[in-house]
Amino acid sequence: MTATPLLAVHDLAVDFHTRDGVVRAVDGVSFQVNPGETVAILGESGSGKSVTAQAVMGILDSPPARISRGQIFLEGRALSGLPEKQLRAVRGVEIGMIFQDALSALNPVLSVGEQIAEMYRGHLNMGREQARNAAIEVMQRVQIPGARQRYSDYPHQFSGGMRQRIMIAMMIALQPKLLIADEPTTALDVTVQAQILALLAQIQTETNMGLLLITHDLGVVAEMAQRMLVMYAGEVVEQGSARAVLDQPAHPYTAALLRAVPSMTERVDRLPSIPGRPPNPLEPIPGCSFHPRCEVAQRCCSQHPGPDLDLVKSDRQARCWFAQEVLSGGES
Amino acid sequence: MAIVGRYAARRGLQFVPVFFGTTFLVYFLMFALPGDPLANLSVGKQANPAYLAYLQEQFNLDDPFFVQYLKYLGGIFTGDLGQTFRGQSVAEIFVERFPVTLKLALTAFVFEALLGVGIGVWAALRKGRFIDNLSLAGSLILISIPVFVLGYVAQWLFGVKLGWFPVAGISAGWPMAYILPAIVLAALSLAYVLRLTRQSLLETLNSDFIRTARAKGLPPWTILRKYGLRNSLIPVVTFLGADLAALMGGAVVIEGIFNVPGIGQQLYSSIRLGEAVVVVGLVTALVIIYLLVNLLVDLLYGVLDPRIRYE
Repeated sequence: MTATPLLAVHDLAVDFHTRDGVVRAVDGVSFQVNPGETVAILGESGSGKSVTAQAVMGILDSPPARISRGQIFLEGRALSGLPEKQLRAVRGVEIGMIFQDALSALNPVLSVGEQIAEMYRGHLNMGREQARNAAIEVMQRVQIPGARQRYSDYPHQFSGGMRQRIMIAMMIALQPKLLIADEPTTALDVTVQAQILALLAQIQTETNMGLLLITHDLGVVAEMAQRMLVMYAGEVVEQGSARAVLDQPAHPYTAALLRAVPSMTERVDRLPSIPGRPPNPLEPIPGCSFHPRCEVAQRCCSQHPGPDLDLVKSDRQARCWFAQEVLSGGES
Repeated sequence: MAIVGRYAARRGLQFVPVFFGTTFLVYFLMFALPGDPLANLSVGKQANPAYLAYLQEQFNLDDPFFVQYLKYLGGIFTGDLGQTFRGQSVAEIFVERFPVTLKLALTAFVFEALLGVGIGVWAALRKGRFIDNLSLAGSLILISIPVFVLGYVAQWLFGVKLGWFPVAGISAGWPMAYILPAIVLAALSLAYVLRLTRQSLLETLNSDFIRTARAKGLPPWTILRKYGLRNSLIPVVTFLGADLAALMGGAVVIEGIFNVPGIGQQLYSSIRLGEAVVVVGLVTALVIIYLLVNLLVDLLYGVLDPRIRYE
């Protein structure tokens, strides 16, 4: 019997009820995050990775979004079905979440210090002065130079990297057990990106919090994650240890993504790309949703939906009839 | 704070050209009006020629336009704002009339701001539901109806038929005598404020920082107040500020319908009598008040939106 995971998501499905019909944005996603572990969800825009994160956080815009199936457990406690008031005591306290663009994710008319202090005042009922000191302390922890002086500055007065640090400070203020980072470095320069990732890794080592990293950047996954999930069209198509998946993908989609990454050592005139475009969620594709873009697809792929996420080898699951072939193809 | 002070001072300097421009323009327009003011005054009766000559002299009516205008300016700088043909001083008129207009304007403003913002927020939070549709339809009706129609209907219904409010005049004093004209005066702007608030709040509620606030586990009321309203009221305050300034200028139609002796009524009768001095004096005072209110609103932005810099 293994220990209870920090976060366990079971068979999650999220529907969007739009004017044009019901769209399934996330379908049957299951995964776990353990304390101190970093799990990455990799996928392109519209793959459902952000929706999965928002569902875990309980901040889906509903309507139109609705969790139609599945359960979410935090340390074995079911979050799905909890009344809103109890969920509020989880958000920001036990689970923190940082977003892609810290400029639009921070309130432009409140000073950054107040926005951090709000966590202490709202959740711990601290007084004004005490919350202020705590906020300055956490600003120092995320290495904001001159934290005390910058307490009353507004978001627009900070650089992109500093704003993301503010965001991180705000969300680690109450020492959550789990931090969800939704594309935390996408809007940043490469050098700043590295600093932010290093900061996240450092905080994680200090506090042993779990990190759920949502990204489309294979480099970020390689640098940060122990385990990874690859999502395509709302489904997990492959999951396993990050190192192993990146070295030797078992799903043709993952394999194609990896081939599209430019190599530092080889000169290529034209990078390989994945033909076609992501499916329109309003028009479900018969059979495996990746088959129109897939290199190894056979006739059966357009007739039968992809298999269930299957154990391909130890600690590796993939949703493809030809997973074994893809896996060994990567070896040769 | 020093920056804000300098900004206010620089804005204050603008009052100088505006003062000369307004007085000159209005004086010129009054001069250009057809007809002899004194002939209008004595219509149908034979006035004493000696008295008419005295008035000609008193009001510089024989002088060319520029001389008249300069004499008028000279009077202002020596503290003489001029007087009506009946001999009442403009300063006296202003002191008598402006408080009435001010009471009417502020009462209307309270209705406009409280109801407009309140219903606007309510409608935004219930988007697509009954109250939202009702408020949109209602405000569309208010925008479409001419103000004098609304005025007479309100007067007939609430004044004559139901007798809830005085039909006209201000003898009942504030607030009873002012409520009905103020509501009618506020109606049009109220509709705009309502729609602006609703639209602005709906846009704000879609912002990323609202999602952040929810991720922080803040209660809905805090999210609405500190995140939603603080950000969405900036355009509403712009509109309200400009409208407050406009309300201070008096309301000719409403003051006429409800017989409220404010600045609007006075201006109307003075324009008809050709009392240039009165019109110029009152209009200039109103323009200055308009600019002052606008300056206050501009300074208020800085409080609401820290991204605004005074340069």
